[in-house]
Amino acid sequence: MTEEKAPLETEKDDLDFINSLLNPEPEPETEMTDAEKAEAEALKKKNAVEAQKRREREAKEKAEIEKKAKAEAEAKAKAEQEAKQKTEEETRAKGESGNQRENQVTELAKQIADFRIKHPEIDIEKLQKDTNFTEYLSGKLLGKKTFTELFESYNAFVNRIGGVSPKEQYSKNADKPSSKSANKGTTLPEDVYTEEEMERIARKMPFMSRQELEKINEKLNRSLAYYNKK
Amino acid sequence: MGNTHISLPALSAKIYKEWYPKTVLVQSCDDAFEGELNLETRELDIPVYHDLSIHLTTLKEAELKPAPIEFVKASVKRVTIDKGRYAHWGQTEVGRLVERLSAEDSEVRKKLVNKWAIEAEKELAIWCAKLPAAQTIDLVTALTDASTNANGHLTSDNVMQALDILKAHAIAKDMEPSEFKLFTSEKFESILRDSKLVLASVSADETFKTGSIGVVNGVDIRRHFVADITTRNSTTHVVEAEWGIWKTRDGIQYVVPYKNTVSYDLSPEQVLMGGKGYQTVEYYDFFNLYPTRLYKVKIRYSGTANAPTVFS
Repeated sequence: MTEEKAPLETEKDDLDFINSLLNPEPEPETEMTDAEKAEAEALKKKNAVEAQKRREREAKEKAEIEKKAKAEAEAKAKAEQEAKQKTEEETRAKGESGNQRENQVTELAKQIADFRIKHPEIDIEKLQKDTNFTEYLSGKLLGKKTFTELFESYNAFVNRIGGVSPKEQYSKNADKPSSKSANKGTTLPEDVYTEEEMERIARKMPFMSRQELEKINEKLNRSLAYYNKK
Repeated sequence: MGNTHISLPALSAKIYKEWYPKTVLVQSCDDAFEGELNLETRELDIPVYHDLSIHLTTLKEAELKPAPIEFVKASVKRVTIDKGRYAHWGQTEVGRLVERLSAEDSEVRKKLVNKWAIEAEKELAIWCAKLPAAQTIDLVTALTDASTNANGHLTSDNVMQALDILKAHAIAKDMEPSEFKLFTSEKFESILRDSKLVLASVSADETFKTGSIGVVNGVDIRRHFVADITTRNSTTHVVEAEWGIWKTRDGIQYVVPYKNTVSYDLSPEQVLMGGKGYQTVEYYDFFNLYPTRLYKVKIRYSGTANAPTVFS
């Protein structure tokens, strides 16, 4: 069982506590010694030095960031400038190559016009389909020799190796019936298709109807027999 | 001249030219088309006929009233070609199969041509046998008589009646019966022979066509050779029931707008010493643009047999 305080005694305790809160006793002032003063002064100075250093460091960091940003902006501007310059150069180069191509086309047209004057008998449309001639021309066109010279040297080359002379092969008169003495071996019988007609029929034939096939059937069989024997 | 480039399409043309006359059904179809097959879209125009109108007037008015002009050229139906058939073969460098196939009397080509004709005929016949009920003429029901013909058999006694029924179907739809032809098996022909009817010939040209039987009661009758649309006795193989086909020429549009043979190299790994591979191909298709001009006819000859409903 706890021992209870008398009511009067309790009130007195509370009153003392309240008084102590309301009128706190002043802490006794202690007088600083010289040594303590010196120590405080040193601490103050040290703090001041550290603050100075901190300010200097922050200023330096700020300067560095600014410098870096400036360098980046300069590099970016430089890159843009270079890209712009490059585009301009490319556009200029393209224009120049376009002009160059235009000049080449003009030059080739001139050479072909000269060729037509010199060799009016040659069917140039047939000639340009000749893959051998195209291969022969490869890398030589618009070089040191003109188109006419190239054709003449190709003609000489073919003659030398014993082929059919391009001059004869691509002559505009080649398909027309000639006198009996000339071209005796190349005339076709009237009732067979020419080689060109055969090629045209070969392309069209898969799409022909039964009626269309009936129409060409006889002549085609004759032509096939003729070319097989040849 | 190296003529390989022409000999290959020419070979395809030769095969097509030879298999077509061997057919009965295919040959009886309209094969007209316009323009060239577009190989990318596979589209083709088929001319459509009988689309001109007749306008009526009275003589009292003494004038012909202007009517909207109908352009015949414009009446085409655009269809998509969806079928193809091909033969695949090769030759070694030693052999010369193309030349052998192209030769006039080539036995290899004859076999190939027969197979193509049979395949084309069979496919078309089965397609006809699968026509919907609206395009069916049921002779079994029409010939059934409770007292004399309970199973609706077609016999030499009622064959004329059967032909009259077919003609009546055409007349009922305002069509000319002589435009129609009847395609049946050999059983129908034997019934006609049994009935001792006079078989008139059509024309010299038609008589020599494959399958031609003759004209009876104004009906042009042809015999086909497709067993798939007949029901046969399991022992004797005699036809007991079948699907006949009653159609006009334009009842079916059968077109072959592309035929070609292509070649390609075979490597020595595939064939000893290497060689050439060939593929003969035909693109084709068939259509029924006028449903009233094509019917399947249900026929029963004996017992309770029914025309086939399942096809291989």
